Amino acid sequence: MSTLALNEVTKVYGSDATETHALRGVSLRVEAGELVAVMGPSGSGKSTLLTIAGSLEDPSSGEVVIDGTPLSALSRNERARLRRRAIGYVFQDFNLLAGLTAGENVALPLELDGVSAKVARIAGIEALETLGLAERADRFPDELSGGERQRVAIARAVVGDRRLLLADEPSGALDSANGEAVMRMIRTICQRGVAGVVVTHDAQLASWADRVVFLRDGRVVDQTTTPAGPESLLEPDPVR
Amino acid sequence: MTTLVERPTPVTARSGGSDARRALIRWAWRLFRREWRQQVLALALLLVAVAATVVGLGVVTNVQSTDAALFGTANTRVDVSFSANSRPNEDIAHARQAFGTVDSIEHATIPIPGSINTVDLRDQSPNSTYARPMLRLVNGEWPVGPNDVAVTSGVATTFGLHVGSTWIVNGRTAHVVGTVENPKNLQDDFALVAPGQIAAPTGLTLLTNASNSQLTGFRTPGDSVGISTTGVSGPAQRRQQSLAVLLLATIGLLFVGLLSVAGFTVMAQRRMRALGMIGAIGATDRQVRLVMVTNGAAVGVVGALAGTVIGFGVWLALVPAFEHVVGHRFDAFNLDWWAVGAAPVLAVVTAVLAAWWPARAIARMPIVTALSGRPARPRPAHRFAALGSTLTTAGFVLLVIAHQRRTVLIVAGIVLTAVGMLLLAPLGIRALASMGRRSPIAIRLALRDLARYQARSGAALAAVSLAVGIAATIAVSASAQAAADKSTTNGNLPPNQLAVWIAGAPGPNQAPDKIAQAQGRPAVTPAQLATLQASVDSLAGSLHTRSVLPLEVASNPRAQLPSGGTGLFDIALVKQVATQSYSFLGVPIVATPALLNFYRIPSDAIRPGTDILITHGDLSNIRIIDGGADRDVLTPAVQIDGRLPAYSSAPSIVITPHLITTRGLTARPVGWLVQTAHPLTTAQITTARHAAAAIGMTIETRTASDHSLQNLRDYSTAAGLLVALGVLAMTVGLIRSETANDLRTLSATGATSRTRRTLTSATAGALGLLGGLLGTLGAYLALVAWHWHKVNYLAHPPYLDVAVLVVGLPAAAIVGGWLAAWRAPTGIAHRPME
Repeated sequence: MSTLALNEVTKVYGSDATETHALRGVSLRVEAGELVAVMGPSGSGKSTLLTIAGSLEDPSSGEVVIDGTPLSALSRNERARLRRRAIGYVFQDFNLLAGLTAGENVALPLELDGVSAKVARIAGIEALETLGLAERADRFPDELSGGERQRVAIARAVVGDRRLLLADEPSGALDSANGEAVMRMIRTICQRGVAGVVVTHDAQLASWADRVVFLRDGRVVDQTTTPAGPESLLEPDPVR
Repeated sequence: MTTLVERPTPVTARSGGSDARRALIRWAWRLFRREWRQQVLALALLLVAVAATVVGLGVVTNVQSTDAALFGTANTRVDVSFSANSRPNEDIAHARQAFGTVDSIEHATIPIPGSINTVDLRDQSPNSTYARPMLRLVNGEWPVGPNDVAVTSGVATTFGLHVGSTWIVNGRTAHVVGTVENPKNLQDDFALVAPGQIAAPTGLTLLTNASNSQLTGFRTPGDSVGISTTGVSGPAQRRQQSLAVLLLATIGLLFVGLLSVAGFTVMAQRRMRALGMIGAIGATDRQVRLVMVTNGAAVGVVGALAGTVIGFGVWLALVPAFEHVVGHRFDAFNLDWWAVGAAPVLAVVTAVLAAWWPARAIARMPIVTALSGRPARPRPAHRFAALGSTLTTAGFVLLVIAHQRRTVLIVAGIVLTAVGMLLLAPLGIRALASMGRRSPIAIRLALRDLARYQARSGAALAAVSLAVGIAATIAVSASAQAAADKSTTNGNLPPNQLAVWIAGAPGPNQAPDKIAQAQGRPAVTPAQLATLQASVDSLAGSLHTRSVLPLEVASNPRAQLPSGGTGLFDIALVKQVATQSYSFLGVPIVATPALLNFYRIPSDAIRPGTDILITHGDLSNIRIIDGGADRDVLTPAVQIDGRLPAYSSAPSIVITPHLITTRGLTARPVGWLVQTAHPLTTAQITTARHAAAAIGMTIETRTASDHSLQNLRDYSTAAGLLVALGVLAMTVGLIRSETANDLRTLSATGATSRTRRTLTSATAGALGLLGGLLGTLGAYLALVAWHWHKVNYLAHPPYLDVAVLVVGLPAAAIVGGWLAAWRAPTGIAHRPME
């Protein structure tokens, strides 16, 4: 059973004269532990694919299945619960809450799910620790660098028992060094069994993925399997 | 080390339970603390609203004088007017026998030189059982001895007295030993002597506590002019006050709520991406709403508490001045405490609801849209308009069937009409935006922004409309009240007329006993009349007078006088209520050619044989008395002519030449009616009174509140204009600050400061114009329903006040917007996302 399955997904915005087809019959499967990069020119439907996969938007037609559960069968609240528990989302512009510290930002999905503040905070700090930011847990977002903020955002996306990580241009607002570091982290996370989908323009960053999907005008025009990145050569037990 | 954490607690609650709520509340509280500057507007409005409500409650609760001004602590008051054969001691003894404890207060009259007004001299005891609350020593001492007198400050001013001075009162020399007042009625001017020190009392007041059964069996004293009871009026007064409080709080909080909605809408739009983000990581709609609602509650609690404290402080500081305004003293802590407690609670509820509305909109917004920071598509304006029309109609109907009496229907009608009119705001914005399609770019952009950001501009417009609506309601109501006053005979004279009476002559509105006293006196001689005429002309000249109308009454020179013998008898108009029992209607003035010309009545309009012309009234059983004998009572031929004035002291009843001829009457001068171009001022009246006193005449001016109604109208219009401009300044500032990015883009494309200024002034002007129109229209609609059965009172609108609100407000907003936008904004809107 795939962690994420998109079956003939179509998304149409507007109607009549203003009708725009963002996705046209896209099918995609992402298995646990697999990292998929989605590439394509502007307006090709990359971000729409990600938001539909993350249950932030409904497809006009087709079906999205996460861990065997079709999203169309879920209510708004059930989908919100799925996002709290199974889906992690990383945005290009971080989207951290300015009023919360880094630790609190990371712990937020757990707290929203009813985990006590104390336990959630411990989990948040552990998540930050894996990304090397535990000592910055009490800093507010505006006291962190861009790279640090994105790492906090990634920690928030993976804290708890997440099975699907969706990242929309996660390195778009970062320099190349920080961008590489972020991709390395995402890859590491996926190696622990999380299914990942990363939207990127950058072919170099896409090389970290197990598979690259090319979109154009809302259609999947090509799929390729790429090497898992230079560092995979150093790993004793590569995924593939 | 691992990043994957096992879920510590399995949770089944759909919204994460109390832990999730706590986390969101914590975040919301931090946001409130971090961004309190952005919430200063809502905070300040709530603070002002609660403070104003607390002060308003104090005003409303204490503005009405209570019956204690007349009754003290008694529940029954008997007023007795003495005649020659009165036996006051018997009346008092009889009352004591009937009721037990009775306070008696004897009265005499002290004339004021140069005025028809008099001062009451009373012998009230400061230690009496019931009347004690009606008396307070301001300074000096209570009068004790036979020559001691205490006076109110008004009497002291009129007669130039002070503690220690000597005063000749009705022929007796008295020493002023103190200043007193009736704390329940500071306008009650009187002189006080020790009990039993009035030599020739002309009246008596008895105060007692009597049950209904005691009253039923009580024999009215022979010259009693009235028995009044209190007790039933207390709860009725309280109900009226509660109604006023309820209306005040409802309208005030509706106003604050609308402004807060505008403020919270802006805040929600600033936080749109943050709220979208928590939706993206799994927050439910309820949790998203909770953030904004908590913020609203925080603003509400802080504003309400601060407002209550400040309002109470202001109220305590205002009490001394307010006592003089309302004319009675009161306990500053005599407040409707339930309402004082309810005001902050309502404010918190208002803030929560005001925050809930935009929170609901944000929570319903697709997460992707929220994350993008784009405003949601405005909901179709026609839906609001349809709902608004329905509510307005329902409110109108409720106000009509409330008949100005049924409290619940009145409150519901006002609220529904107000809310209904406010829901029409989005339609107005859309209409204006579509009308501005061909206007220059800056105006077009301003109008389009108003339509695009309908949530906040609609709320802002609603608040402006409400401010204008309240002002228009007061202004139009004042006009309607003035019309109502003019349509009745309650007033004595219009505000631009002055009657000058020859001393001792009976004016049309004089009491019967005064007229009786005047009978038999000789008329003034031609030489005296010439002197008086010259003085009146001089007085009229000083008032820049338009016209002076001589007034004459008809006298029977051969009448049998009540005091015996024959002499000059001024005829009176009465209504026969029983055999040989008449109620006095007035002294008719002679319809001289000058008088008929003054009121534009052609002489041939009087039908042959007509004795009396009268402006209106019940004509049944009208009689004329022109002498003290039975044969001198006759039934006149009466003709109604609406051109005559309705004021009681003006010539509202005139005698035709036909009656004068047939009865052999003679006309004798009694005074002059002086008409000025403008309402008389207090200073002019005082000057005229002194001038009249110098030549032995008295003046009479309007005692009704026409002038104060005009003041109320003008003040309310000015206040409404200022409040509306204040609301415009706040909301336009908010709206334009949120479009700072557009301004930057405009500047980058070469727009000058003129474009920026036009944008701001067009935004302000559009909101001002729509607010002025909607508010005035809503006010008229509600008032038409209110005066449904006497809608003609609204036929004389206050044109100037309406023009100020409908034209002046947008004009001032345009100018203000232009001036305020002289400096470019320093930064773009801050978004709380990192």
